This record gives sequence, structure tokens and C-alpha cells, in this order.
Amino acid sequence: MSTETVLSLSEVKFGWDTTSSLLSIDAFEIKQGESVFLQGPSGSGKSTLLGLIGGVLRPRSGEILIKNESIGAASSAKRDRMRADHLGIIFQQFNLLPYLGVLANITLPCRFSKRRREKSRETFSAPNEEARHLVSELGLPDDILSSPVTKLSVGQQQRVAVARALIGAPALIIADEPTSALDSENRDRFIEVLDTQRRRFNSSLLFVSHDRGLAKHFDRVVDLNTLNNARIEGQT
Amino acid sequence: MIEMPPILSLALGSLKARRFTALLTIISIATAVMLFGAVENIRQSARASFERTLTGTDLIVGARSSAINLTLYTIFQIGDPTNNVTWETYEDIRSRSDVAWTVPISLGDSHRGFRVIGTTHEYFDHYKYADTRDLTLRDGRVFEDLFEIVLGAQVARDLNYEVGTSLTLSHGLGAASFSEHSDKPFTVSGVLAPTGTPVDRSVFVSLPAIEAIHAGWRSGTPTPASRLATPERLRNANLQPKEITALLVGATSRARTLRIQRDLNTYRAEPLQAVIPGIALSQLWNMMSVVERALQIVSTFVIAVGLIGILTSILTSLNERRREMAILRSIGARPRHIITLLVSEAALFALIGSALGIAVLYGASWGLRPLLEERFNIGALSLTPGLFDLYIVSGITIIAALLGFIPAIIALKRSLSDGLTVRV
Repeated sequence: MSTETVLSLSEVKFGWDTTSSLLSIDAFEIKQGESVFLQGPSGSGKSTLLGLIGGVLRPRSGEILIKNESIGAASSAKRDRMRADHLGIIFQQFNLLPYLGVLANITLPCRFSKRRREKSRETFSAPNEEARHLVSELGLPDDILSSPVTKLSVGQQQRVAVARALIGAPALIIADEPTSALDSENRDRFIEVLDTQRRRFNSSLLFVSHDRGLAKHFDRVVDLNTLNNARIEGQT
Repeated sequence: MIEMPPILSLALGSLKARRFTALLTIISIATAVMLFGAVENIRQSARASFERTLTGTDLIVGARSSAINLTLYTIFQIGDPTNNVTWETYEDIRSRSDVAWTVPISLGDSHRGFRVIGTTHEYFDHYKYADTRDLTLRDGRVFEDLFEIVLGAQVARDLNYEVGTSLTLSHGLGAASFSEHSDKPFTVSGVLAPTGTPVDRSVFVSLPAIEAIHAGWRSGTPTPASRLATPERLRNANLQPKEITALLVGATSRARTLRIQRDLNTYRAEPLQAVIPGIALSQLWNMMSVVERALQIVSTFVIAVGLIGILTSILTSLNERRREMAILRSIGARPRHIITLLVSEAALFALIGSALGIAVLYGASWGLRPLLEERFNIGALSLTPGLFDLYIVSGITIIAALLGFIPAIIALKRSLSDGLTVRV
């Protein structure tokens, strides 16, 4: 397995004002193909960390690299492009645009990222083809592509969200509590499918959850409370 | 080079998903545009048809009163003549070398509310409207016999008269007259084609006929002598009028008009007034422009209400679409995409709505065309969309797009603060 670094944070500090920090991370890395379980209760700075990695927030200091390119210091246009090109994001719930069909939802990232569109063309001839392929790999019925999003069960919606995150093979999949709306049986099945598929694309996975029971599925477990020094700094 | 994602298809999809409220918004803007278009159309055509009520005539000459009053009673059959012009004066004006033609007009009688114009055949030769259009007969011919009458189009239609119908005239200009000329019946000899001018509401007889029906009258009431004036006797009598109400004058050249006007306004034998119709007509129109302006203001406000409706509809949708914005941001939508999405939504509302409004407006005027032409003097009403309607549609679309920046900027600010976290 390649040891290229997909995500790297060093000396990253973030806060809404200059005096106190919400987040302070000395070093955090994800290698290509690696899956990381990031555990943290709500309020531990998860959203902030994801915002920083996704390039919608800017660190006060320090460096955030995605595929060895700084997203923290880039212009807003560049950050938006890096997010479109390299990240596949899965939310807790309601991942899909209700007014688009399943197929259009899955291929949406290819509309915003030329890189992912071309990657999809290289491997599958067209984003629509890749979407078809992903749907069957994810264990969804074929005719789901033409059905409206609103007819889907929560489990199906989350799988469609996985397809959307994977299309065009982005370097890093970020899943933010994607299983919290699923029952326990579906939860494990979902993670298995997600893990299998992202391996095929050699995408790394950052899986954020407060549920420690899911940690067994991942290469590495990181506790955000340990990672984040902000609280300790605040006390001294 | 990044290909622009088809934001427009997203905007359309989003409108479709909220089709009920979207439809209401579109209907409200369509109604507003329809009203605005109708008001503007009527306003413009009313002005055009009004100012072209009388063309080709260089001067209207009558007893001295006011320019507007003279125009109103000679051309529009509104108001009462103040005084008359003697036949000698008429002959004098007619014989001037710089006068090409004259048409005498004698008023004072009516038929069931429609005014009688006593005149000569020259009226039908020289009265022109809508630039160069002549009066034409739809049926029959102009009066030849003393007791023949020609009807304006609306008179014939409203009263259901045709060539050959027999009728009597009433003394005075009102609808309810107590003195009837019932002993001197007239026969309809011809009916004029519709013109969209007051001519349609007039009836025409010869000047001698006016004298004939008043034979034996004094100060507006019949004397016993009038009974002796039977139609048979009158046909052989000398019916040379002593007075007329007004006259239309055509100069030999436009340049001479001002001199004739000056001469007549300082006429020594009796106080006269000569009015250039075009000037009087636009003066009259300006008097009515308050109503015009009011209509315009009201319809502009209706448009403003429609546009605010678009804004409200998008603003209220923003809360439930917070997630949509976060999803779009997470897959790489740029701030300008979010702005384009909401601005194009506002523009789509306006474009669809105003195009619909214009379509319904012209559809309706096509459908109702026969009815409109029958009932109203709207010869100049435009029945096909024109450049002006294009301006309306594009103007409203542009304003709506500009207004769309308000929700767009709000949504953008929220999406930046929400980051990649999807809030409910």
C-alpha cells in the first residue's frame, strides 16, 4: 500500500477570536487508503475540525495539507475547488437534494469537479455509468436511479450518499455520523459496504462518530479530546 | 477551465419541487404584468386614437369661447355651443384665396341621445382620421333627399337601424327632449363604417334639413306656423340657413394656416375663434393625463407587489433550504453558484410569470377582439405583442434578478457560517 499522505494537519489552531482557541492540533495525518475512526462527543470541536479540513473555515495558524497542497492558506476559490476535487462528504442525514433524482444526486460532484468527472470517464466512460455501477455495488436495486429521492428509505438515502461521495474517486471520504439514523443491524452493514467500496477506489476514510462500538471496523482510532489541546491550553 | 455546472437546471428543479407556492408566485406576477400591460396598451392606444380623431383639417372655426370648448362640441359632441356663426361669415371665409375647402357644421338636435350634425357632402369628403383615413359608407349612400339621414356606425348598431329605417329627430342635445320633430320623419339613406372616433356616435343630415325641421319655430319652440310646413311644401321651399354652429377649414397650404387663424381671431364682423385641431386635441389630452398618470402609478405598484411576492417566496424558502445549501457547498459549489442559483430562481419566477401575463393578455384581447371593437373606440389597440412587451418582460426579469441578490446573499452568509454541518 502506498504511503502517500492524503491529509496532514500540523500546529493547527482555530478560534473565533484571537485570545482563545477552540481547536488546537499539533499533528494529525491520514495516509492514502487508511481508514480512521475519529471519536468525539458533541461539543468536542468535530464540526470545527471538519470545517477546517473541508476548507470552509480557515485556521488561525498552522498548516492543513490535502494531497500535499495547503487548503488552509489557499484562496476561497481554490479551497472550493480542492473540496470538490478531493473530498467526498457524507452527512448524518438528509444528504440528498430532494428535487433531483437519485442519478442526478449521485453525479452532482462531477458537475462541480472537472477532475472527478474525468476520473469517472477514465474508469467508467461516463459519470452515469459509474453511478449505475456504484448503485449495484452498494446493494441498491437498479431501478432506484430513476426514482425520486423522497421515495427512498433512510438506509437507502445514506447509501446513495455513499455513491455520491465515492464518484470520481476522491482522495478522502469524510463521514460525519452517517449511521446515527440507522438501526444497529443496518449500521454495521452500512459501514462494511462503505469500507469495501472506498477500498476499491483506494480512498482514505475519516469516519466521525461518538459511538465507540463502531471503532472495530477501522484501521486506526483517534480520540478528538486527546488530539485537541485547546482545553488544556485554556486552563494554563 | 471549470465547466459551469448547469445551475439553471438546479433552479428549475428546485422550483418544480415547490411547485404549489411557485405557481402562486408566478400567478401573482402574471396577474400584475397582465394588468400593467393592459393599462399601458389602453393608455397608449387611447392617446394615439384620441390625437388622431381629426386629421387633415387645419382649423376649427366657431363663435368665440375657449379652444377646448369649441373642439369638444364640434368634434366630440360634448358640451354646448355658445353661439353661432352667420352664413355671411361662412361665405366670406369660404371665398378666401388661401382657403381650399370648408365644411359647415350645424348642431342643436339629436336622436335618442345621439347628436345630429347638419352639414354638406363635403363633410364626408374632407373629414379624415387616423392620419389619412376617409369616412366610408358601410351601407347605402349619403343623403340626397331633404329628409334622408346618414348614421354613424355605433348609432346604427346600438339602435338596430339599417338603410330604409324611418326615424324622427328631437330638438336639443340631451337624451330626454320634450320637443320632438315628429312631424318630419327621416329615412336612413346610409350607414358609415366604424372609425373609432366620435363620428360613430353622430347622425348626419343636410343643412337644409336642419332649416326644414325648424320651419315655423321661434326661440326653440314650435309656433302654429310650423304645422303648415309639411315635408312636401318644404321640399320646394328656400331653406338657405342663416347661421351655422362651426366650420372646418382646410388651407391651401399648411403655411397659410397661421395667417388664416390670425385673421379669423381678429375678424371684425363678429367674434370668431379659430383653433388648430392638433394643438387643441393634445391640450385636451393633457387635461385627462391625471387619470392616465393615476392608472400608470397603480399598475406600477401592482408590479412592485408582484416582485415583492417573488422576494417573499424565496426568502421564506431559505430556512427549509439551509440543508440544500450545505450539501451544495460540501460537493464544491462555490459562493457564486449559490448566488446564481437563487438569483436565477428569482429571474425564472419573473420571466415565466411575466411571459405568462403577456400571453394571457394578448390571448384574451384576441379572443375578445370582436367585442372590444364593437363596444369601444379602440382602433389603435395593439393586438400582438410588440417591442414594448419585450421591454416589460425583460425589465421585470432584470429587477427580479437584482432583488434575488437579497436572499442569495443571506443564504450565502448562512452557508458560510454553517460550514459543512447540515442544520435541520
